[in-house]
Amino acid sequence: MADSTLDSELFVLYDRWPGKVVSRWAPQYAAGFINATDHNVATATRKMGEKRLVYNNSETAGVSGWSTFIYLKGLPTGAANPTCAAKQFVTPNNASVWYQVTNDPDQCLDVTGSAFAAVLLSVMSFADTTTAYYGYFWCGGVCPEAYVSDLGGNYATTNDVIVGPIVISDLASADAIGLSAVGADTEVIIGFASEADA
Amino acid sequence: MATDKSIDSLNLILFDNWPGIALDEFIPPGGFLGVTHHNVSSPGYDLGTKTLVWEDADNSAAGVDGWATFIYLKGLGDTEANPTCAARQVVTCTNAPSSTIPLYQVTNDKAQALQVNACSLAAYMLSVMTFTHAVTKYGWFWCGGIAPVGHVNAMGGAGNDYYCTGNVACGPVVASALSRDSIGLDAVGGDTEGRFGYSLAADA
Repeated sequence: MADSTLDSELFVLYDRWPGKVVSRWAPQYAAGFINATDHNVATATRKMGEKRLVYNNSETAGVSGWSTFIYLKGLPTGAANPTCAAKQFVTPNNASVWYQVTNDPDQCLDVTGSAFAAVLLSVMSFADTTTAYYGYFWCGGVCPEAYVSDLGGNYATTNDVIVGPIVISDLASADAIGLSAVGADTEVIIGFASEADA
Repeated sequence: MATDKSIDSLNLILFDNWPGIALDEFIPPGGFLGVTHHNVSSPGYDLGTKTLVWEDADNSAAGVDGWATFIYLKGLGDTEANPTCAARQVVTCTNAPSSTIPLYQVTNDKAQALQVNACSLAAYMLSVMTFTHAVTKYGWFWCGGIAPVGHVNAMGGAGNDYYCTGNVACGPVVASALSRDSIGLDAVGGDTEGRFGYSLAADA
């Protein structure tokens, strides 16, 4: 089945990640969450799993509501991963290191129905097994387009999303992880779609 | 019933389904096993008090960086003697709550639990505790996030695995009766089951 898309304003994410949420706190840099000090850096500047809850104002972009960001480690395990880009989903790939993630559906611990899903905010530089990069990811609430403009727009789906709960899934026609309808009770719901994919 | 298996502490993340928000990095005096508040006959904190703490891998050879949630509960069997308590046993609610029985009253006895398989209100014991069906003891339990090995050594490390039914794959897990006389983990078996956590690996 060919993949489809769902607009950024038409779904919310449920935050399943363990971690501490700091409310109404955004990085005090002009670039915000994608600042060069904290994001896409080879040395972590934040605790793994630290989360930031912010209010996304529709007067700036997207829909109004609360969004959660999380600080994670990007690192492939066995092979080069697909080129990273904003709006791609990541999920854990190391059973002993819960916060280590990849955007590669072939290297995930559990690609379809994983409880732990987050979205890349930007291009990131983790690409092979030798160098980790750390940064912020979107993991809960409405799409934080007002904070990261590249998160607005279409998200890849498996072309079966209807109004209702959603899970992450291996996309059919792209080497990436996207959104899907729930397929089994062993899959963990990580969000809710308010419209069918296009 | 299949032989029990186990998973390593690094592979398990719990979903905190208990009501209430957690305190911000509060650590009780003497740590979570402090003798003035853990395994004690009178509660040291309000039942259901939770605290979210940072687990630093540098504090434990067996742990990993991350966040863990502890909850303060009441251990008390219902009508008969319960199995001997030990660290890494699952506890679940004993009864429907009432004016005399708190929601937070738990047991490690699969025969006395309100719902043993897939009860979403569950937690892990941190140590030997001395509650029975006749003796109440209050204390801290692990209920969310990663295994807090740096705070309580018995929660991880060599030989300190978590018992499962032998069905667990990478994915969500539920509380379940084990072959041995205790409660552990199982794979999800239906859409009516409350998820207790998530396993990053299959049991072995």
